[in-house]
Amino acid sequence: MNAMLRETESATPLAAHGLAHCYEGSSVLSGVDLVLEPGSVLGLVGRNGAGKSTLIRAMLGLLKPLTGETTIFGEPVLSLSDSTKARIAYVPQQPDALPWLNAQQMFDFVSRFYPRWDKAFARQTLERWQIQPHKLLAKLSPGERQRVDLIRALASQPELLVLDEPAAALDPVARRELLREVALRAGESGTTVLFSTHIVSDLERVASEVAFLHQGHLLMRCSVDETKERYARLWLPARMSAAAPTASLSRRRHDDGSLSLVVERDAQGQWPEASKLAGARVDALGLEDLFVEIAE
Amino acid sequence: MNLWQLLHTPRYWTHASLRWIAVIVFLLCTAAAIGWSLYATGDKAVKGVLLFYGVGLVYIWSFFFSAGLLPATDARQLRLPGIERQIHASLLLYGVLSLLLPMLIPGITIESVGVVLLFLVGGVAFALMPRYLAVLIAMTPSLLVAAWRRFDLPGIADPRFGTWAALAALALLLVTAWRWHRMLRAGSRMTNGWGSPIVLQLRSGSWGYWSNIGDNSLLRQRPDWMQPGINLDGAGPTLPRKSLRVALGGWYLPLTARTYAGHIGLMLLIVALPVASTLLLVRLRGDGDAGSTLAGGMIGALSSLAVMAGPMICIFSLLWLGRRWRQANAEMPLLALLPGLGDGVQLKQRLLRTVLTMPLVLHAVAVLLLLLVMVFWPGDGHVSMLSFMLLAPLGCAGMTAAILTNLVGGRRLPWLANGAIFAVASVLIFASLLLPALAHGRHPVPQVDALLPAIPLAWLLFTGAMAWLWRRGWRGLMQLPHPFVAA
Repeated sequence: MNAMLRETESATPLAAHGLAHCYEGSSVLSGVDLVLEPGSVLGLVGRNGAGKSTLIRAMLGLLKPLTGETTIFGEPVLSLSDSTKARIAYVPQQPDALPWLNAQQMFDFVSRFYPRWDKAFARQTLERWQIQPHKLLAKLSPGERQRVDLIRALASQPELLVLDEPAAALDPVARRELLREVALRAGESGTTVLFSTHIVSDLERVASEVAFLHQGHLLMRCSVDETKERYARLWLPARMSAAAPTASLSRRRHDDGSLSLVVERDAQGQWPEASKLAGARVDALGLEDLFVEIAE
Repeated sequence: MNLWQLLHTPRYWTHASLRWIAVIVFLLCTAAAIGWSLYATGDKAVKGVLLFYGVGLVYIWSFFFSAGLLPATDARQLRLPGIERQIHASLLLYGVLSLLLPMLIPGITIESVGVVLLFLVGGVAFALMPRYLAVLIAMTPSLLVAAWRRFDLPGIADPRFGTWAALAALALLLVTAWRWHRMLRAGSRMTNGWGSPIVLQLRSGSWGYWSNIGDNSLLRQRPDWMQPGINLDGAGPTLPRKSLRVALGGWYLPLTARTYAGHIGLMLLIVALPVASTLLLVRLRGDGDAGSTLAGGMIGALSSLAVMAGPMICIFSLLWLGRRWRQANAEMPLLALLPGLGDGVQLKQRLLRTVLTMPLVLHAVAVLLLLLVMVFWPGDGHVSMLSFMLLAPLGCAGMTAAILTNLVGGRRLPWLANGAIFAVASVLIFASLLLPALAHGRHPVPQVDALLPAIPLAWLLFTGAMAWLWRRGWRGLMQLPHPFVAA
């Protein structure tokens, strides 16, 4: 039994339990649980300051959370072995590592640590994305810099790819190319991908699952296709607001006293009882609307 | 735009620290000029007053008023001509005040206004000149002496000098105004490299450079031909310490032999300039033996350099590595997830050894320089004097090790604590330089002799404190789950 459990854990690319962290007394993460299944592409969305980067950094062992633990391929994240590290790639927000090297030197240096480094991919992608290989990284534009780091991450052929706001500095063409590459890796090589973003359209294009982080809490997590079916906005006129369900993802009272709630279908696939009241209205929500409703 | 506004405008040009330092230097120089005017008489008084006041004027116009160019450029780019006009009017007002202020000092007449104007414009010209020309500042004393002799110029207190200075100041004013106008129009297109004006460095506060250490702006400014050749041979899992050096950058980077040769050449060139200047001075004066003057100067310069280098090595390492450790999007996450660097205690030891080796080697070079000075110092009785100086680089090495170990160990000291350590070290360094020189110099002061035993004792206490601090950092490092985790 234990052996089976260990095997399952080692197959799970990333599993975080009860992560909590705070900066200067204010809580940034509050007991976050997140498990990534092999081959899944999880988009982590949330407003600025929601705690996305802190969550990613805690899950990768780049900071020690106050409580909670994370395992990557079954190993505690704060003491990863070299073989596990070789299976992970991470691109931080606005990467700024090794600015004294040029792209070619950086790839040459980093490639020596990764046994499965794809040299041809690095060279070709650098050419395709029109980045000068001999230009100092410090002298590249933020978008070029981000692309160099993305190539660095992808060329190591990781099994777990973690990207923090990967598209933030990219133009629409580069963004689309990146998303295509991510989708390709996930589809063909079974790479597990976790990426944070503000751009909800990117999620719809590539993510298989979405997780909403709000004020350090993971409010919801479901498959992208499922969101429209599973979540909706329930509007109740003022006179019915007392009948509003207690469990909701967000609750907003309007000036006229009416109430808007983001509600979820129950285990039987039914909307809350209040939705059946006369005058109540259930509106379908797109991913972006859902994000705005929850985050507002 | 009233007079009060014009007087207040420069407050917003620079960082507070820079402003206060400039004002304090200026006030001290002015106070010295007033004091001198009360003490001396005749030509000597005029000469002293002009020189003291002139130094203050050059400083404040170089490092404070000239910085008005920066907001003026910004205002022009933002299409705010009112602010631009206000800045120029304010500069004009302060210019007039700077010229009139010394007239209040007894003995200074209106004939000296040309000399004062020359100092003022000289200050602005210095701030606007390209950075590469600043290297030639070392040559200035000898060039001035040469010019004085060649053109048979009158002394600074001579009324004829006033006319000559006024003409020179006007010519310099024209050049400066032209350069100011050009930079104002260039705006953000102003070059950031070695051709950029010195005043551009004031934008980032203090004297620019220190706050930029570890920042990419310096890398961006450096032209391609000046980029160092990096030697990546062997870097990788087989040589983890070399890999760590590549990742730490700065003076940790392993360089190619050609780049090392280039650095040595540059250093020799920098040393050659003051040497050439000294030789020129000696030749122009036509007195003394050039060889002994040069040897004396070199020995003095080397010993001062060796002693003063200690805090500099520590500050540079701290600022550089501090930035690396602070950035969440730079080398730390890369190193944390890089396979093949080792793990556990072995990796922590490797990292600490890599971080400490280069600064400690430089401290060792400082000790070596002092030992060389001991060997070549002319005359007798210098060994005991220089032995005290030897304590400075040794103590500073302990300070560097302690501060950097705390940084790596996730127990970075607050700025106040670092400042206190640097202050104590500076006092000890000056005591180690000054007291033995007073006790055993050309004109010994017998009372100082009794104070000398306190110097090694103070260094011993300081080193003990640093040892305790080092242990604190080491324990912190050992408690970290891995050395690249954010504290």
